[in-house]
This record gives sequence, C-alpha cells and structure tokens, in this order.
Amino acid sequence: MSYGHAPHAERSDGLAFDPTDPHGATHHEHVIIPKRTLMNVLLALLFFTVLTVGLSRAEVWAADYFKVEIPQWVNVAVAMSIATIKGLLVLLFFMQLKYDNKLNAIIFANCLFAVGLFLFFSMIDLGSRGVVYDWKKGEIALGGTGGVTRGSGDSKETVTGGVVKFAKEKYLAEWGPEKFERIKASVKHKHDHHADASTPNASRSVKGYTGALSTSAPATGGHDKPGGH
Amino acid sequence: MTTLDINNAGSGADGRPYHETYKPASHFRSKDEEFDAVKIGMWLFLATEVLLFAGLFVGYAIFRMMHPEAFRNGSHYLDWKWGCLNTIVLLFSSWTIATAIGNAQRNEQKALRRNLLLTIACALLFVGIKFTFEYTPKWSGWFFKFDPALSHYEASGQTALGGMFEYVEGYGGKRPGSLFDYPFADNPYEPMWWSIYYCATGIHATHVLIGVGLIFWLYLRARKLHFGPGHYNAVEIVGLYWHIVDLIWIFLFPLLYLVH
Repeated sequence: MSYGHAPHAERSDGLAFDPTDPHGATHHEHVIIPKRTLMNVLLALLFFTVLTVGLSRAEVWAADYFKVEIPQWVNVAVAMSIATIKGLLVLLFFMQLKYDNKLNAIIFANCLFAVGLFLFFSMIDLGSRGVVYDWKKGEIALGGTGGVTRGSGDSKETVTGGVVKFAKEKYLAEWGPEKFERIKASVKHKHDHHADASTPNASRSVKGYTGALSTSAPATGGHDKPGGH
Repeated sequence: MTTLDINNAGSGADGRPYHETYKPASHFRSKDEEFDAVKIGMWLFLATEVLLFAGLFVGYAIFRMMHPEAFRNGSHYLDWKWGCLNTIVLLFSSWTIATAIGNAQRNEQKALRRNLLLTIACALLFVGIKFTFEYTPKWSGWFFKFDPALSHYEASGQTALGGMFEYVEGYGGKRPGSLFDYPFADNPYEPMWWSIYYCATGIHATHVLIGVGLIFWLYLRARKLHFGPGHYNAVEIVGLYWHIVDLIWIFLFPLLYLVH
C-alpha cells in the first residue's frame, strides 16, 4: 500500500534547521489514510457489531433449545474478545496508531496495563473472599436498614429495610394487592415454556420486549439468607 | 492550542487562507514539531479518560461477580436493539470524523464541512435515542408516543406534552441507589446495577455532548478555511477524542446490553 503525504509547508519562520541536533528530525511523517481503508475498517466494525449481537442471541437460543447450561464466562469471553478486536481496529486505523509516532502507542499501552492491574487485583481479592464468607454472616440491605430519608415536602419518606423491599411495600399499600398483581402482570412478561430462568451459570432465553423478570432471584437466596453470594 | 487569530480568519496577511499562512507557536521550531507535541499531549489526556472509565469497569466487574443475578435482572430491562442501533450510529460517526481528517489533508473543504456536520448529527441522534427510549421510561415510566415498547403495556390513559408522552403505571422507578422506586424488583441488589448503568452511560453521554460542542467549534473554523494540508491540528485531536468516546461505548455495549 502506498500513502500520499501531506505537503509539508516550507519553514516560514526563517530559522535554520540543524540536522545534527538530536532533537531535530524526529518528526513522524503525516499520513493520509486512503478513503478505501477507512471504509473497510467501518465495514469490519459493523460486521463485528452484528456478530457480537448474533452470538449473544445464538447462545441464548442454543442453551434454551438443547437444554444445556452454558457457563456465564462464555458470554463474557465472547463479547469481550469481539469488543477487543473492534477496539484495536479503532485504535490502529481511526486513531492512526499504526502509522503514528510509537510514543503515543506506548503511552496508551501503559494506561491499558494499569487498567489490567486494577482488574487483576480486584479479581484475586473477590475470588478468595469465599474463604471467609461462610462464617462472616449478615446481610447488606441497599438503602440501609437504619432509615434513609429521600424526597422533599409532601413526598418526603423514610426508607426502612432496604429500598427494594421498601418500594414493594409502599406500592402494595398504595395500590392494594389486587391492583398490584394486575400492574405487575402488565409490566412484567412471564415466560411459561420452562420453569427455570437464567442462573449465573446458565443462559436461558428471555421472552418479551424488556420485561421478563418473572423468575429471577432464587427464592432461597438474597432476601432471607446471609451472605451476598 | 496555539494562537488563534479569528479576526484574520480565512485570509492571511497576503489574502491566503489561514491554513496556508499558519505559523506554529513561538516555542516550536516548526509546525511538525508542534503537531507532534499537540498529539502526545492529547494521548496523555486520553489515557486519563481511559482511567476514569476504568474505575467504572472495575466497579462493574466487582459487583457483577458479587451479584450476578442482580446484573442479569437489570440487564434484561435494557433492549439490545437500542444499544445495537446506538453502536452503529457511533461507529458511523467515528468513520465520518476519520474521513474529515483526510478531507482536511487533501484540502477538500466542502467534504470536510459535510463530514463534521454528519458527525454532529450522529452524536445528537445517539443522545436523543438514549434519552427518549431508554432513560426517560426507566426513570419515570413516561414513554415516547412512538416507542414500539409501548404496545406491550397496559395504557394508563395519562399523557403529557400534548400527547407526545404516555405513562405506563408501575414501569418507572428503576433509579439508582436509594432513589430506587420500582415495586417489582426480585433482587435486593438491583439498585446497584442501576447505579453502575446510569453512571457509566451518563458519563459517556456527557462526553458525547462535549464532543458535539468541540466538533461544532471545528465546523465554525472549517467554514473560515482554518483547516487544510498545512494545518489541521484541531481536527486531528478532536478526532482522537471522538474515537475514544466510541471506543468506550464499544466496551459498554456488550457489558450492559448483552448480559444474560
């Protein structure tokens, strides 16, 4: 491939240029990336976008159809691999790192290394917490159990027992049980074709537009059992 | 940025366009040296941008490991179709601004202005989709009249803004933290998912809006023939900023929308 170069304007400041100066002549040439290359990169990016959505849908479909359990890490690994390829395409061609002064790429690579360190140490911390969680009991309630106050004026209210539980009880009292169930049925989509919903380790398809929370949290977990996970 | 002589825009001392008569700041020996310095500075800034989002990505990883059910529940309220559409819009805008840099390098002034305007249009479309079809219904229960999701829910009969928005009772209230007010949540950690979702996408959308301002600034300058083969530093570095905004979304999209 050949690339045209932007014409360097002549030095208009009249200063002499010293070729023996170690700080001189380090300039990387301006590259004009051909329109065709940019278009090909765009098409590749769109292809990978469709691919990642397609694979995500296909995984749900396959797990549902063949009644197999696909571990959650498959979902994450596939999606993140494709995102990394897309990110590299943007960095190399749209952001011109492929043609650019290598120092810019080194700056960015160092930054990504730092992000990797953050993730790594967070993960080894979390991965070993199970060792202590068996005896470290006690539930964390979001919004606190001690009474968080929210709103102002007439709508001021004190949240007790965690926000999720509080919201449910608040609307149960406001609507009454019959209306509560009716509205719940209208905004949450049931899927009756199988009893199980997804679990952290298995994908199950979700029917409906954006609802589908019918059988989410395990009945035995979260609410009444100690320990977050 | 270096000295910007707006009053002299479009015509240099001898009547030539700004980009032909452009001189670097006095502490640079040449325009090339200035170009390199400006670019390295921008890459350092982009590194801090990535570290800003790194906090959110690490928070996401930790809370998803601790409460996978809450993340799965929360993610199922998002519609991957809107996320996918917005991804395509942003990728296209990345291409238009990358092409705009080539236009400046080749002195294609008309195409340069067109590509900058297309990029702004895509950015506004992205934010428009996000607010109209995603944030507003989830936060408050108000749906845009032409939202396809509206047909799935029981009509409450309440409308606002001359019938442009319709209310669905019991849908809204999916807010973060102690603002959470959605009565049908099944997992006590769902407000945590919404905190991550609104923080990540909100900071990203703020970057998109800042980008709109920057690219509009480029457009105003391009109209005065500020950019051409001899000088296009601003187009180049705003382009880099815009690509990092796209890059962040490339990772946010699967992490938020494709979880199951």
